[in-house]
Amino acid sequence: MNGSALTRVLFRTADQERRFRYTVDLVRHLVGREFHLRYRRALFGFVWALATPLARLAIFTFVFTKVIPLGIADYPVYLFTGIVFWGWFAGAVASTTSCAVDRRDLLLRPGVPRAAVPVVSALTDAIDMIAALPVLFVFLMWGPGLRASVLLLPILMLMQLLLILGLGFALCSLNVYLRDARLVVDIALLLGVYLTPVFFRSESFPERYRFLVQANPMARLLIAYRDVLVQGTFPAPGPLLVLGLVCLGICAGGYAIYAKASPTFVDEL
Amino acid sequence: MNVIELDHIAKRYRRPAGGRTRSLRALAERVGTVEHWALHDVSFSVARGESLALMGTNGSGKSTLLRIIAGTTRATKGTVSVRGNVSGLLTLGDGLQPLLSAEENAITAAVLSGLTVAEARRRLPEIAAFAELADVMDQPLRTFSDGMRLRLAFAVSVHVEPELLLIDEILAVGDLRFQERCLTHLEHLRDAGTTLVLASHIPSHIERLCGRAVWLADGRAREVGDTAMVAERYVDSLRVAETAPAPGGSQSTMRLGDRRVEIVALRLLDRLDQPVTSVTPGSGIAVEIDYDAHEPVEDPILVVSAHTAADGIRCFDLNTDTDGVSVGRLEGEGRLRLELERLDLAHGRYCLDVGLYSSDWSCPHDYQWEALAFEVVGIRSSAPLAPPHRWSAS
Repeated sequence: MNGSALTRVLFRTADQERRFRYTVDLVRHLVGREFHLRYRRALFGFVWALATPLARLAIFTFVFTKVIPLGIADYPVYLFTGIVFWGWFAGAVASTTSCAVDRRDLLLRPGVPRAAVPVVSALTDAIDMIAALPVLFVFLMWGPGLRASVLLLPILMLMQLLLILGLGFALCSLNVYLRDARLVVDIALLLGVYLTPVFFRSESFPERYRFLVQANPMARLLIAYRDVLVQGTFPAPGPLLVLGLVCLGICAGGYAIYAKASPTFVDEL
Repeated sequence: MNVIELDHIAKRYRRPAGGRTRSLRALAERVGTVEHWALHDVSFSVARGESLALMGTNGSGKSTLLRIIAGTTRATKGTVSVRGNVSGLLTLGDGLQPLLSAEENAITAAVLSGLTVAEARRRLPEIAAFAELADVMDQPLRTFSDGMRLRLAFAVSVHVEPELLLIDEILAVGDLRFQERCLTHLEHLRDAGTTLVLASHIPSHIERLCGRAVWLADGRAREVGDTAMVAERYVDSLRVAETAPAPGGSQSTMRLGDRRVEIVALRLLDRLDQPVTSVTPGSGIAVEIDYDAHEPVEDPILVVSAHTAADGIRCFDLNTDTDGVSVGRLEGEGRLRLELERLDLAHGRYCLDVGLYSSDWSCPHDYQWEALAFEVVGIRSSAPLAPPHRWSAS
């Protein structure tokens, strides 16, 4: 790709370009540092990153195939897909909500772009998800097999990142002014795991409650993930595009709130 | 060209009353918000390469003003324009990670101050050398003393080549030799064209580094102008505030302070460290103070002054703050010492006042007037000073 042509489109001035490159570098460095902190000192680093999702996988597979059989084909893969991507969503939304309070030190740095703070938070929580991907691929090769549709995975992940950032930007702003926001978010996520088809199929929802799934972008994302990974089919492009636009819209809306509120955050912290 | 232009800026803080944090409970209980104007109508500009001092007591608005210039918060009124990349020593050591190595922390600090990771790695040897920590950069930061952390943080923030460097009250920490290196380095940066804004309590630092000064009092710019003039007026204002509670002409010992640190014993010692009550002119003496800090006190100011017993004429008035000396953290019992190389006082009785003040002069911990009396046996004079002298005629 012609780098200079692209940068000319993206940035009006050299200063903007420098600022953007710096921000990317900063975010990458801070996420890398969190990664080191989390796993370097633990003896089995990655093993611990996987321990929680694998434990969840084991217990829910037992419950939903033996105790209350749901009759879903390839249930472990189906479930693990749900656990991995819901896990990223829930962890990232929770930590992004409190990121301004937790990372006050970053907001007090003159050169650090304020928007970088929630982005670092959301990406840091992606570490566990990325650590689980190889395991997910092993499950897939074992069970239904890897198909070409897996190429859509990065696009779905990007859409999920936009969704997380949008919610994170907005909730983080709210949390600065009302410290209860974090508690409300925790409860909402606790309920959300049951209102999103993480363990079961959305078809299991009775018709009159189906709207809960339909209006929930995270539920739609999970359905798309499963189409791509478990069924090995390409989702219909129309609804996928709409979902992408919804995620982008949520991200833009959340950012607008954050951009308005964040210049005076440090006064409240 | 001006790097900083502040035009009639004001800053209002609004907080829930009673020091509460914002929460639904505060809303439900209808805790009102309290308004506080930290700055009123402040205007000044700083040209490229100029260095400006911000003076003023705690709560006068210095830190708020620095934050506004740094862009980490926004002025409520007025316009602010700041050009160039800003580096600040505003929150020293914040965001450092004790588990990671000094090297990793230095890179993070440099990146947070505006360098890319590659640039930060390139400057690392220079930073380590300046901080005098080159041999231990691979050690985890938790093994570092406060002084070492400070040196590292300072070294990073001055090696990122900022166009505008903001420094908030941190030069007072660290040992004297490193302090001197920092001052010299700041002089070099200034001479190389870096714009400097320095908030400090230490007149000697301010006068050395800054051509112009702003004195803030209760959020207003009381004086803006030449450093020597502003510093003098600022110090004068402190002196009035400081001596105001003194008992008028009382001969009895008076104490004042919150007693977080108590002065439990006071001795006057001669050259051989023997307690004395009378000294000869020109001889060296030491004042030794035993203290008991009931709770840890950070960097208090030690004051020792003398006046004549008869009519209260001040002979000297020394304190660690104007000398730029850091007392450090006081915890439990300990001893502080002031050595006077020679005391050229005339024959007569004198009184020593000693005191420990909080690091920003805002409150005395233990101030004792006329804590100790001593006698000088020597030349009789109607004035307190008797300098070494020789007469001759030709």
